[in-house]
Amino acid sequence: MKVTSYAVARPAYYDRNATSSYNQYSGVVGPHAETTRWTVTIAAGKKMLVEQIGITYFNVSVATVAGSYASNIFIVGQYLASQGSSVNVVATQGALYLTGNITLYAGETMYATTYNYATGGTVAHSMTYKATQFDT
Amino acid sequence: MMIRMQLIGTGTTPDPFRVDLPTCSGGVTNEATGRAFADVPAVDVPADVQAFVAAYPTYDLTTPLPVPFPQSLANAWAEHLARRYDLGTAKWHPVVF
Repeated sequence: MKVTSYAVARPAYYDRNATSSYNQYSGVVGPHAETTRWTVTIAAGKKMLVEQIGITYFNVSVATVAGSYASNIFIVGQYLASQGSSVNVVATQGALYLTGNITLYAGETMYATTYNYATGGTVAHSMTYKATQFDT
Repeated sequence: MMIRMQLIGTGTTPDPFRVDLPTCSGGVTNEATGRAFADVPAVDVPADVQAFVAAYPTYDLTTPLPVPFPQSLANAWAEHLARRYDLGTAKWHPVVF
């Protein structure tokens, strides 16, 4: 007797209607309150695997009164990663790159913010990510 | 697509300045006028809202729209996002501003 199985393995996530998701903010800005630069929310029926994030800051021009400044990425309302300083010296800089497997589920959000509480001066901020969105 | 949106938030860590959308980028804001340019996925914007944006183009973050964003379109946009993200209509209420 011939026995045939029709069981089929479930496709891997990258074969389930997958698309790349990415975003980048790069700006040289003066003092400002905390401001969201990009946000991504996972649609119904989808998941997102975050493969890489990058955060940098670079002090471009000196402030008249020093204050803290930072580039941040929040995931589900909590800090995922942050880079910042209050050093008031041109070329003060920081960078953070993370590679990993962070899964966001439907309805969850990741967003990036910057702030600069100095008086005068400018700071370059950059926050970026690459991810794959796919069917649940 | 680029849309000039109303800013919400207070500029603090739990409540940063932002546009009231689930997915967008751009981040060019003017807190004084309460406006921001946002790059919004077209799939998140209903056709009638896209038509309104096309009918009233904006070039800066200061000049008011010639007509206010209709409440009927605001409601339709909120319902569109509620369906797409399955989180109900209480979550997002974006306004072209």
